[in-house]
Amino acid sequence: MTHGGRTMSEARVVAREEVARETVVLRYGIDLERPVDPGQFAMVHPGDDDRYVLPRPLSILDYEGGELSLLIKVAGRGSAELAAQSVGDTVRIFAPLGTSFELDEFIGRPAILVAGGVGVVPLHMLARRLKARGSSPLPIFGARTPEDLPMPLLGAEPAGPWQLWVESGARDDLREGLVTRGLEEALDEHPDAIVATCGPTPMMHAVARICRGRGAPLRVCLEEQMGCGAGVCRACVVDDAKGPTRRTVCLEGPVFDVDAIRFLPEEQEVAS
Amino acid sequence: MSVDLRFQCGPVEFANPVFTASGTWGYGIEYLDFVDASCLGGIVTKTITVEPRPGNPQPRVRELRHGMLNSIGLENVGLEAFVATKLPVLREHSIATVVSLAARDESEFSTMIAELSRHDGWKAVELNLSCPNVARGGLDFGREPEQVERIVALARRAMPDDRALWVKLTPNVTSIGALAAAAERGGAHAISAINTVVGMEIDLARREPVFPRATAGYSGPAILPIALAKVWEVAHAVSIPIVGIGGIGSMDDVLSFFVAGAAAVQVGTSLFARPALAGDFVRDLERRFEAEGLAKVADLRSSRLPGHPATTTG
Repeated sequence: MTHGGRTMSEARVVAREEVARETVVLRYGIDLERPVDPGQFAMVHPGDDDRYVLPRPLSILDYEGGELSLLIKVAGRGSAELAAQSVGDTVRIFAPLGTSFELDEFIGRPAILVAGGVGVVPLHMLARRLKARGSSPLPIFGARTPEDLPMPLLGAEPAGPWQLWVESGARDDLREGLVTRGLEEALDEHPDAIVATCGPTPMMHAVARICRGRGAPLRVCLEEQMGCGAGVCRACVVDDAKGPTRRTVCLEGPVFDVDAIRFLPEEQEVAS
Repeated sequence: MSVDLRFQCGPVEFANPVFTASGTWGYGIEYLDFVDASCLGGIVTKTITVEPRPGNPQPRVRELRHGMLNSIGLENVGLEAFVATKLPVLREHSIATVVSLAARDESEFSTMIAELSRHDGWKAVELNLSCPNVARGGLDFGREPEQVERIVALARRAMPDDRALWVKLTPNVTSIGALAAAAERGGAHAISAINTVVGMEIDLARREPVFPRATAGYSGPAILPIALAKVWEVAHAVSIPIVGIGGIGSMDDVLSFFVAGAAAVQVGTSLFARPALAGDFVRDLERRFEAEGLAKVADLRSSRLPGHPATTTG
């Protein structure tokens, strides 16, 4: 069924590629009613309703020609089941959902994109869109070890060249350390830059603190445990910066201006 | 044989016996572009309180094998905003609406019903008695029969004559039958059973419960047998209709509730993965009844329950 731009449909795996340790890109055949923008996500259910109560939110890597690409890294039993699928297997997909990065904000000024782990997905699409409009974004990617780098995604084209960081095991093309050092160096060089980030929460917190210290505008693409992806279950909320109200990551996000929410732990209420 | 799926509940008639459960269908308007909710027997809204509530901090939801834990904390927009911004949309789309209410003290339910009565667009109220009574040290309202009877009687007095009063009970008690009987004595038109089962998940790395409040509400396929047993118990204790809730994921689950004594059902947690599921049940129910030679829901009721057609029509 397809209404109001959201599509829910069975989809079949049409291609599978291992891109890093326990990380695959799966392409599904599905006709979405509307195009996908960077940051938007899909709710994906393995289809086994007795074993999986909830669908999984997965950021969309690409959608073109009736094929939806998702990157899946094994994190729990649900993602393990999805990652193990092969061509011909089916899932239930609800997409595209959520907000996206506003391309115009990233054009006409330096744009630094800081990705960690599966956070590469929305920033990969953002970088591609920016390059297609003649812009030259500065994408930076960090992983724990070289085996965790999804190298097929990290070439000079279509989204790079990427500056790559690993916490250990540096090689010629890799720098050793945290991705945040790359951000600090880039901001030294481009103090007027806008920053986009997606990745593990501690990494994004570090990025937010650096951007706040430098006065750099920051857009975050959040990952949160979700039940429905439609604003119904209220599982995925974040605190609004101004009021006592909370905002849903699934409907009002996942992309936020970091100043619109209480993102850092030191800003959050312990209220109930 | 013609099939009659109407659900008569006190003064209110619903088109069929399939509803969405509170907390799993938002305010009933989030899927308007996506699912035709006007075909349902009705929707039960997210629980509404007098004042807006921000609910609990993260984490709020954890998926487990065969079920999920939630600790949302009754986050809602408050009665005034509900009446002003949600109810008109529900009315406009002809969605049969049951408004779930929670209160801080016994009299607040009546105050909220009185306020709702000034507006159109709803058919029934469902009292959520699994909320803490602030005046009584935060213990749930729904645990003592005397208190349940008193609250329901107060609420019933505030109800307009043409709307129905449902009372939703928690399974986390020794005898849900005694509470249901108390609600019936207080004037309830129907019993909704069950609310979530109290549960816990442990974070072994931290050696602490996952949720800051330690316990949370368990729902999903895992609680189906618990819900069926509780509905069975309630069916022995009351003669008003029972709305069965808990773990429904298939048409067989729906029919199982009817056998156990329910006159209607609410679909809950399964809607997160399959938003169209309740509508699918409505569509398939008539076909299934025809195929099995059933004329009405009561025909499925177990012969071992009081009120079985064979034992009451003779």
